[in-house]
Amino acid sequence: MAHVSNHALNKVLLRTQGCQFAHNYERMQSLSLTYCFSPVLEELYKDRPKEERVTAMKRYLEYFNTHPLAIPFILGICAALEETTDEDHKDAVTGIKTSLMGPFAGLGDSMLNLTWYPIAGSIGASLCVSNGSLIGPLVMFLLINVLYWPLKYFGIHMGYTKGMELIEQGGVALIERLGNLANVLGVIVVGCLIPQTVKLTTGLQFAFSEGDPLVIQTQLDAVMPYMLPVILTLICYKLIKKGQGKNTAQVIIGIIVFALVFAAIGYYTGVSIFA
Amino acid sequence: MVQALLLAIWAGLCEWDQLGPHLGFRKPLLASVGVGIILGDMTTAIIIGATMELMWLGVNNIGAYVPPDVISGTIVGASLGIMSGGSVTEATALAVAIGVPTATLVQQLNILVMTTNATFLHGADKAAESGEFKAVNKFFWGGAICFFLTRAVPVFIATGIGSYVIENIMAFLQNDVPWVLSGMSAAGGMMPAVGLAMLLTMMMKKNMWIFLLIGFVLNAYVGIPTLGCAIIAAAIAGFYDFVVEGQKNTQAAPAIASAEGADDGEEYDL
Repeated sequence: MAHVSNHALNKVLLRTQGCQFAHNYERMQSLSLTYCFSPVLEELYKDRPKEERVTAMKRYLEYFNTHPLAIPFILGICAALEETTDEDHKDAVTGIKTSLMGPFAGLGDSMLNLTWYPIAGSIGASLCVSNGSLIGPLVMFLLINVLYWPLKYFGIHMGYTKGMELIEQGGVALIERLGNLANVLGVIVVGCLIPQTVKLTTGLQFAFSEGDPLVIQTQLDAVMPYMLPVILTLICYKLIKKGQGKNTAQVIIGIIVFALVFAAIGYYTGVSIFA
Repeated sequence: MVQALLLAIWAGLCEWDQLGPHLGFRKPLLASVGVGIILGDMTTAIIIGATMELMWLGVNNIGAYVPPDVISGTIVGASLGIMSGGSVTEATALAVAIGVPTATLVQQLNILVMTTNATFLHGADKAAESGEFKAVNKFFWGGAICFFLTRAVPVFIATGIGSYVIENIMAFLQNDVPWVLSGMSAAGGMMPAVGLAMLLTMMMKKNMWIFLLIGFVLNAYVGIPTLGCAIIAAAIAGFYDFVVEGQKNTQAAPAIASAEGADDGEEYDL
């Protein structure tokens, strides 16, 4: 059987830069995956009968959904498998492909989407939120891509050469374990982002006939710093959990209405509610 | 009009970044750089972008959660904020006021296209019967164009119409109802709570509250910034793994024969 060339792998890598362009609810990334992988299939099935090419394409049109950054690695493994299995054993390719998508989705989401992007974003934004300097976006761009490009490039080439070895040595269990680690890391980072990013303070104060006025915010800070942001985040958490993530739009509108109502009350009564 | 068209194309490209290369332009801070170039006011664009970046830090595409579309929210909000001619603070408040509803509307549009794009999949199913690998390409690009348009069309309409009326709206807000701008700034400050809560609903499995408390204390009481917290978090995650795996091994040891034990030992080296 034909060999997969480096050229074809690099072509796949280029095409995976559009790995979710044809996303849809029915089979998620499947159509994009077929498009991305077809350079390899074209090489392997150049001289094969039509029926085999049809079934090869059908294999990749099946339901598939994982983290976009894991696609080069998984396709690298698929390329190696397509090359070594004969036509009667192609179920193995589908089996491996499907068994990898879940663990990698979990790992990618918790490591990259939930941890690395917020870290890069908060560092970048903190550098420019007050002065509008270009350093902020530049640092954010570098932080993201310094990690992402090696993952993509080595993903596909290592996946092709060493992928199966890794899977056979208990790699899937390792990925799941790494996913748990990333989850712990992500939760700690979120804990640290709550006081940094959620801004809610009150300017309420009560004046007495004698002595200093009672400033509510100072009292709250004395009990616990960032008490209002924590309470607000917990309320949002409870609401979103109750709505199973489908009610975020309502929660956002709720916050806007809340803010506008109190801003209006504050404006017309002369009491400063938000500080 | 030319500006509106350029902004629309930029929004479509940012959406493609979200669906493919993940260079980072799908996030407000980097998307705002394009707005700054097109409208010629980099400083205001970046300040608005950074504010929205912090506001939508936790908003991310994960699993079945369809998040508000931060791309169109940022581009429409930042451009109209800049066009309004208000001060930077006022422009930022206006950007939040416009950006948040835009993001929510385009989120619904995204859900619609995710559903209708299945027709391209069915087309590709049929095309695959031909045995030609290139036959599916046009269906792939069909899906891609639909996603491009979900961001480009709303941005074009909003910035095209907005550019004519936004200065009057700003003047009205400044003179007649100033509480709307201050209320929207307050709402913008509270908005990160929604994104972080979304993250938490996905990450709070059993016992994870312990780590949430650690992160909070590290920043709120000790004052360690994000990257520092992340480094400590990596150490804690390593320690957590050490404890969990250690427990597994001590539980497994008496029950399973020594041959299995050797396997566990190997896993430690990885």
